[in-house]
Amino acid sequence: MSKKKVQKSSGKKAFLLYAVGILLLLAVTVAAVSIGSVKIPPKEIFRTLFFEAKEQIVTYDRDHFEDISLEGATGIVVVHEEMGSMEIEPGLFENIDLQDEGYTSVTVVYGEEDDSLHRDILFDIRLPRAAASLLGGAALAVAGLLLQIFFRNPIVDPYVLGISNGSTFIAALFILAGLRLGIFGTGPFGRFFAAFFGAMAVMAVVLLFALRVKQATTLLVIGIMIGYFCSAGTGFLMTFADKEAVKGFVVYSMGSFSGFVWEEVWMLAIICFLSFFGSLLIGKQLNAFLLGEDYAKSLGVNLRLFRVIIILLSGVLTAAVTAFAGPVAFIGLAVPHIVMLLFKSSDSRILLPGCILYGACITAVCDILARSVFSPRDLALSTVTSVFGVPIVIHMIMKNRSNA
Amino acid sequence: MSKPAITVNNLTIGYDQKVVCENMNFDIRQGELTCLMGKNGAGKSTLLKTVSGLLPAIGGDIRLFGKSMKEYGRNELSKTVAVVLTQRISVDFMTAMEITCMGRYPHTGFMGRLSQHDKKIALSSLEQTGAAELAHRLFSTLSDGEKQKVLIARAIAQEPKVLLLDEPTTHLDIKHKLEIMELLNRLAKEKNISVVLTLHELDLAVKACQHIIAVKDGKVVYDGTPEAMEKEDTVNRLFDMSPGRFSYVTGSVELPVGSSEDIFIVACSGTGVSLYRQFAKRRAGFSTGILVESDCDYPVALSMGANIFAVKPFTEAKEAKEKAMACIDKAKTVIDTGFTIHEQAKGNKELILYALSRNIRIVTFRKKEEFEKEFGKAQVLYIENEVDFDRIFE
Repeated sequence: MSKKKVQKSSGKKAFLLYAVGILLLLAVTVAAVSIGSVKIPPKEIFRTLFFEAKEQIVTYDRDHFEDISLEGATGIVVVHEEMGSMEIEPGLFENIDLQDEGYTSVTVVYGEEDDSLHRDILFDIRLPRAAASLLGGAALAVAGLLLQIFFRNPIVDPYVLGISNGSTFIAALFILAGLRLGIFGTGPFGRFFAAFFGAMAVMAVVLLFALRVKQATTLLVIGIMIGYFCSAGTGFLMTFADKEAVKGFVVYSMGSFSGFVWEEVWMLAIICFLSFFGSLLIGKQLNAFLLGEDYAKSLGVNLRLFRVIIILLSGVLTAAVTAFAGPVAFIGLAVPHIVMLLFKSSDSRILLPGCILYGACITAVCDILARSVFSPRDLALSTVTSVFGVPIVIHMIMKNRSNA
Repeated sequence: MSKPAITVNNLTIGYDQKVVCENMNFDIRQGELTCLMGKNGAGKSTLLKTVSGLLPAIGGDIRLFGKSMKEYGRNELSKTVAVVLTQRISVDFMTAMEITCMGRYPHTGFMGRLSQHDKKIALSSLEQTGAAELAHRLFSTLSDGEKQKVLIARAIAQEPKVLLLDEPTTHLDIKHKLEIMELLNRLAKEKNISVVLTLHELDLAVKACQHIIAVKDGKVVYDGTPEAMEKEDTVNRLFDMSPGRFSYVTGSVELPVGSSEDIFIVACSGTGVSLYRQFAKRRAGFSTGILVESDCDYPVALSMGANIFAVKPFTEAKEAKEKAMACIDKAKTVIDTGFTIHEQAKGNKELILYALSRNIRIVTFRKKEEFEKEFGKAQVLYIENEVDFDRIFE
């Protein structure tokens, strides 16, 4: 008995780790707001975040570029899909080729100081993006945890049920084949609705199987198969689409939180918080699943119902993130493990809040790296998360081998 | 005889529509250990899963304490029946105590918060299974025997009236096997719960259980006490073994050797057992006699399927002796195990003297002076240690 692994007061430790997580969350948010190609001094960030600016600012979006008036302008910020935001001297503005499809908005500041310009960058570009990456990361981590518990398999991620492939497939139909889904297709959320619809359709198929199959592992295989099927469809579309569209699609399919607007953030937030709440409510049943479906059933768990609930919660979370930001790799796989190792617990009621906090922090940090390392170019988020996630997953698998 | 806890009426079990066993009828009583016996794939685990409600019955009815299982709600059923299954549990960070607390699931509220009462019951369950000192160890770091105790503690924490265990002793060493059986027996008696289990260890089943239900070819073929099994030789029929293969005395089986008339082993009073086993390991057949049926040589030789000359205890050996002598006539070697020469073994002494008179090769495990004192001077092979054993076959 020399190697006695004793667990001490896990409750206190968990609260300490939550506190650390919350502090980290605040630090990451501040970092996400401060870091960018336009240098804004910290004092000014503080001032702009908490005090009203006196200057007039007007933001013109793509449809209103003809109306831009430069009379009395003291500062201009242009936003480009790929290059991010750029601050330009008013005198140099005419050098910009606004006919380029990539420019999404132009913000003009009228007045003495350029406070409001910075305010715009902070509020309309950096904050929504930070919020989206925080929410998306938390959502993926929770979805991953739910499925890892459900399948009792440590290398399951939120995409294992084919949900992201379905989402990507319909997004491909939308981006590459120009599919429009009735009235939704015309609004700003067109791509989102298309992708979300794809994810939900795949989830519905998986749910149908979930009601019929006896073993959860069978469901895993079915999910993977549906995923391949959708990927095949995406591949087919890519073969026949034109080059430019494929490039745009590839950028989407590698995942990114850039270009988030507040409406999208709010929508993501509502979906996430409802799902987080739902996940916390089924903590008791999730724990019963830890021992396997047979033990769960013998403890009185309604297997069918909770299979559906778990798949529904993880599916909606994954679908929302994927629809907005594309499939972001490794967060859903690696974060639940990191949290488990950190908290030294398998209790889902302890791990769920941990996944929300640390999933958010880790993803936001990855997003900051994605947009700052090769600034002003944005790296695809999945490239950063993969570099970060792969060593962790390999470490875990090797550790499991030596245990078994 | 106590009240029935489970009554099974005309039950048909199986997976989907594939019937494994049908038309099953039996009672399982409170405060007893009931063992389900049968070959691999006979349907023991299926029956256990059906009775625990994990698998729906294809037909028939299971009544728990007089009420049909179909009328039980999920929570009510889980407060009545607890299970210990064979599937391995792999959780990284759960202590033995946390696993045990899972048993309190049906007794806790919506969020599963454990009260002081719940924790007390979990701890006392661990104490009852002798696993209290493991409470704060991580489950994944425990040995197989310790894990099994914790899983039984988890089931007890559920406070069931029926405890079902699928092969609870498999993979355990002999000490833990005994501890688990003793523990289950005590639980059945002290808590008056009915314990139903499947076992692959026939000896444990016969020695530790009060009730045996055997299934074969889709039917219940035995339902009664282990003691009454011997009369119908149920075990040998159940596993398609020839009569005598399973010995109710030793509670086990031996490697088969078959009979051979080349070698005759003169043994009695237990002197033959280890020699027989050495022959069995060399796959060498033998004849042996004159055995008294109450000696332990007899069930061992019988289980091996050797050619035996035996007498009932306290009876004349005349007829057996004559037959044995006829066998010795054909033998190439006669082995003297070194049995004590006393009144009952008189016939055996005569066999050796007879072999000497017929000039048959004799191998003895006695010291030279002892042999010469009993049988006179003769040309025999003396075997004094293990190394010499191969010389028997020269």
